[in-house]
Amino acid sequence: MDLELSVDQIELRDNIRNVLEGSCTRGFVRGVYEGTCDADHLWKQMVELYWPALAVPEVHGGLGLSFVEVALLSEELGRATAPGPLLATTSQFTPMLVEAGAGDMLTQVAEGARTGSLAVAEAGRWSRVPRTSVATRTSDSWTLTGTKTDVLSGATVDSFVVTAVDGASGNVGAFLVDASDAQITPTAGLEPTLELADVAFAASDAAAIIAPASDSGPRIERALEQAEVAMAFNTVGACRRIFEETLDYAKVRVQYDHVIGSYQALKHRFANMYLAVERATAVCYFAAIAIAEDDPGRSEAVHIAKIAAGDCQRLVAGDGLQLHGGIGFTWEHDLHFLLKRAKAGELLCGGSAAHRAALAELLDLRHARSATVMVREVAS
Amino acid sequence: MSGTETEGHEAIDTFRSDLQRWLAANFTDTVAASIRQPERTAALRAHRTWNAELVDAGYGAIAWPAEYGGRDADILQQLAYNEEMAAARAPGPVNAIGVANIAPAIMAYGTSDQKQRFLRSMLRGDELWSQGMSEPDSGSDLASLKCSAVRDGDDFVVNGQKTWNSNGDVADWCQLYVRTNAEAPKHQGITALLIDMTTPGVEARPIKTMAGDAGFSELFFTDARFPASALLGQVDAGWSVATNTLSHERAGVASMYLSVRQQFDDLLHAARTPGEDGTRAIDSPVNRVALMRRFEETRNLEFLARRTLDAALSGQQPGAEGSVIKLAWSTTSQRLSMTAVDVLGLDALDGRWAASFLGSPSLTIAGGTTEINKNIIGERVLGLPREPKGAA
Amino acid sequence: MKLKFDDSVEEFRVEFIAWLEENRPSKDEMEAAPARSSASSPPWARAWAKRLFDAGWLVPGWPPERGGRNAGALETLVYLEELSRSGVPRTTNPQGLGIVAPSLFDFGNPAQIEQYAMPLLRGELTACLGMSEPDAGSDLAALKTRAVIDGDRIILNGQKVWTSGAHDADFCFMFCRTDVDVPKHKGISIVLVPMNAPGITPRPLKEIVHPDFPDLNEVFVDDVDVPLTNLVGDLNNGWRMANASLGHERSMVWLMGVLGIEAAMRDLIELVPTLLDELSPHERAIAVDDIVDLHVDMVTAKCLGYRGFARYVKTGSAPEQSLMKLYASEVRQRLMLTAAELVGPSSLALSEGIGESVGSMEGYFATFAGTISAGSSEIQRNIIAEKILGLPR
Repeated sequence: MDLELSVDQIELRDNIRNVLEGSCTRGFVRGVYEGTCDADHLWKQMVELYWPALAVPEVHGGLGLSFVEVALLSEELGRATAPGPLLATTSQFTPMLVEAGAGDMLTQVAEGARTGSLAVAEAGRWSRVPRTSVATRTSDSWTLTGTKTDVLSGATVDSFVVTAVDGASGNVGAFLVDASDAQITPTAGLEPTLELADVAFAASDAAAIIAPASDSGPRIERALEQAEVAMAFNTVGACRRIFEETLDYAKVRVQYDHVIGSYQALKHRFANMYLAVERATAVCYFAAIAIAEDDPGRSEAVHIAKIAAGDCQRLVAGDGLQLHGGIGFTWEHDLHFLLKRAKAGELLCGGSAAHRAALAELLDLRHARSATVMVREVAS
Repeated sequence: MSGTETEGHEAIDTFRSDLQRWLAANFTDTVAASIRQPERTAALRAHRTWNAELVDAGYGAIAWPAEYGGRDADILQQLAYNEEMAAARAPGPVNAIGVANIAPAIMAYGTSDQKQRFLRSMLRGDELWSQGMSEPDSGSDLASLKCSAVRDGDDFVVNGQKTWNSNGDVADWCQLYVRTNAEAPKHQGITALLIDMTTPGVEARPIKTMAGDAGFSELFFTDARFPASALLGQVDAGWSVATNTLSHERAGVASMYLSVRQQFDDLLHAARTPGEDGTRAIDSPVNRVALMRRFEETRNLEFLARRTLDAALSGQQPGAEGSVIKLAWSTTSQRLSMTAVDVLGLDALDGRWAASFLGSPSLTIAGGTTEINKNIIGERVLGLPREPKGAA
Repeated sequence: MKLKFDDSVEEFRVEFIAWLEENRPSKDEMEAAPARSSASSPPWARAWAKRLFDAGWLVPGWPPERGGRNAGALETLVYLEELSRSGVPRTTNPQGLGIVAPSLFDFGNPAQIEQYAMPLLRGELTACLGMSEPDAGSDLAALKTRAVIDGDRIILNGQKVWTSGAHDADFCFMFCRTDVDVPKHKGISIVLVPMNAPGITPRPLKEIVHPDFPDLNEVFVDDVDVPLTNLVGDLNNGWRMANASLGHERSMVWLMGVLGIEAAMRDLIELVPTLLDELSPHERAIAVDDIVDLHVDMVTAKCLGYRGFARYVKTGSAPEQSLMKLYASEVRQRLMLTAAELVGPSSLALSEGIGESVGSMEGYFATFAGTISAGSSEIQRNIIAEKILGLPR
């Protein structure tokens, strides 16, 4: 198992980082938070750099790179707390289009002419199988009804791919819906750069890009797994930067006549944070490569990556803020953009708890499944 | 049980039921809502109005000596008071730091004029108070503060900056710690002043925190001139004013666990409430485990605090267990907020849980960081020597 | 990045697996006469060392005349993976094979190589490592055991402690002070001391696990007389050699840690169905949560280790390597504790042999060897903070 990036991958990552450091500055992010800037110019630049085309297959006009590169892009977008539809388009919309073989749409994505996102979560829960969204066949197409929540860049993208169950067959499908056919309610709240929105569909016109069938579930799941790992990368990207900035701060902040980083209690916390970041990074790489190589162990790797990213943000966001002391708690300081990105990353695409439960089943801790059911019985 | 003890219990029971009645009549849902409204100025106005009523009814700062408007309440009575206030979800005093810290300092070190002038109005909330201790470079290491006061005739001329002043932007008065002797060892050149915030040269700028507006300010002093009557205690003896003032509140630990218990109950309620899709967060085994652990910690905190209270009741002098309880309280409360985010998922990104989750880090920073608290426990409670290099 | 190694490496793996199947000592054989200490060598272990040596599978990275086949780092990695999976120990004298022999090849003279190093490889001798002393633990350079040269003899006096396997070893690779008038790092030399030399007295220290099978020793050294030819390398050059010697051990220690956790996790998963059956639904939910966490720890430890290794192969340095000792030892400790708690009171039973089985409380205690020895977890965190993260001392 070789979990180190190739020279080309390192170069790509460094390029992305350089561009974002120049264009997606802290001042710019602050502007987005305070409503004085928008992401349009940044998006145009990203299109010029072919970033939306990254994982679009070459036959559809893309660069045809693997999921590893998508993952690296997601990590850098987290590190920069970048606003705009790129994360949703490359890590959510594109994988589902590729899985569906939706060539025309992919060409538009590669050209930067279309942005999109996945509408999966319902009532705050990211679920592999939709509970309430229903698709209905019409004479020549489909209509879709239901409410999806917490859609990444839901407030800004052109299109959604929506997971819904065919009322007739009970099978799950993936449906393309134009944003103009949906009722969109921004829920930016705490983390405005993610442009979250709730999206409601009332008999909206929909195209089945993965038609409901007995084998459609696993195909959709493969795309969702990519979204989940990309979100883990996004979280770890933010965490690594929190860690770096906290470390820098501990080397200059003086209390009791010494820099605070010279106190052993803090050193040990830094060692723990470093471990958490490296641990999450390594396992995220593992999941990325498992997806890229379509390894049989990919589902397990996906869950572990999201869990490790969750463990990482829990420690690093908490300690990062704690060790900055009061200054990190001020709006004026830039740390909170990263803290909020890290926390949101944990909550989106399934939280640690959900992935732990899924992993328990996958590991065939046979009794986990029955435990879930029994506990539910006890609770009700 | 002796006769006196029975009488004591009866007195407490009467006190408790009187307070319950008074709260039922005066802390109505309307009043509660007006104090909790998001708009800070209006909320503060409502809080002040209600606070004055509370004080006039004899329920403000019951731990204070009677001569200053308190009841000389003993610890059992304080405990009953805290429990009833918590049960009614009634807010604490408007001048929370004032009542707990500044007033006792004035009682101990102030002139009779100062006592006359400040204590009653502080208690009623007629005047708002802030405290000026922390500075940008003096956080944990408070004694390193630099904001300076130079004598000019009888006046003190102050230059420098303070930060993290609660209500600094709306306060009428401030208890300010300044450096009056730069030559002396750091603990011996600090002086406490009671200053009028409308004095020229004093500027308060609100701090916006990552959780939004939390009512903190920075204070800037530019040749601000205060009369000799502003002096609290002796010149260069401010460190003892800061550290030797004992709060009258002996049952404060009770309010810590009571607030955490409330927080837990709220979370449990939210987890039991079905979401839009009909599922309940509490039905997930993982969530149940997390909630159960938080409950266990909440109860532990309660027992820890009760034990301290019982020790105080049996006449033992308070020791450094306060540090242990503060540590347990802040970490428990912070974990509770994190669990809320885990259990409630995306719902927690908005609304009150988001605020509590974002506000929770300040629990382990403000009023002595967890790190400093652990040092205090290690050194003062357990008798470990100081870190070789650090001189606290 | 890739999940599998190149074909040539995988072919190497296949070849080794095939050989291993044919030549490994059987489980029964090993259980009948377990190695009692880290320098004991039961007959099967001697034969096994000889077979590994002759077939070039003892240290694959070395040339054939030293029991290897000039294999690369990746090949060595898969070799260790498969060896660990098979459950057969590579050697019952890890310090001898991992530290003493390579140091003798680096610094010893031809006679020492012939007389000590080669027999170590062939399983004919075992060695112990005399480093720590009562007043020289973390600060090894403070050691005091004195070696005085008298003509063509060396006379040694002093005391060692925490010496693994000293009571079973044939000789000791002993660090001693040969010059007291220079700074402490500059007066240390290494001497080969036969453990049957008059004046050498190992006293085994009973440990809190397996008190009947002690491994650690105090070693008393009273007027021990050995020939000057037993001096290894240059006089007073011992500190430099010490650093080089321990370096031999460090490069792949992480893998042993990771593979050990993996094996323990397999054992735990095997126990799980029976254990969970005993539990009420709520206990089960808690237990499942704990097991999932351990599984995540195990996979992350593996990823962290392999990522560090890949970086090491590509760039010659990898900071992750220094995290691995800390992380792997602590994960193992968590795992053994969780397993013992799951098992319940019957985890208090003592195991028959000297292996630490998953689900026994003595197995949990044994993990403290990992978090205390060779740089405690506290020291490791200091090293990470200072050496990697650049925090001031």
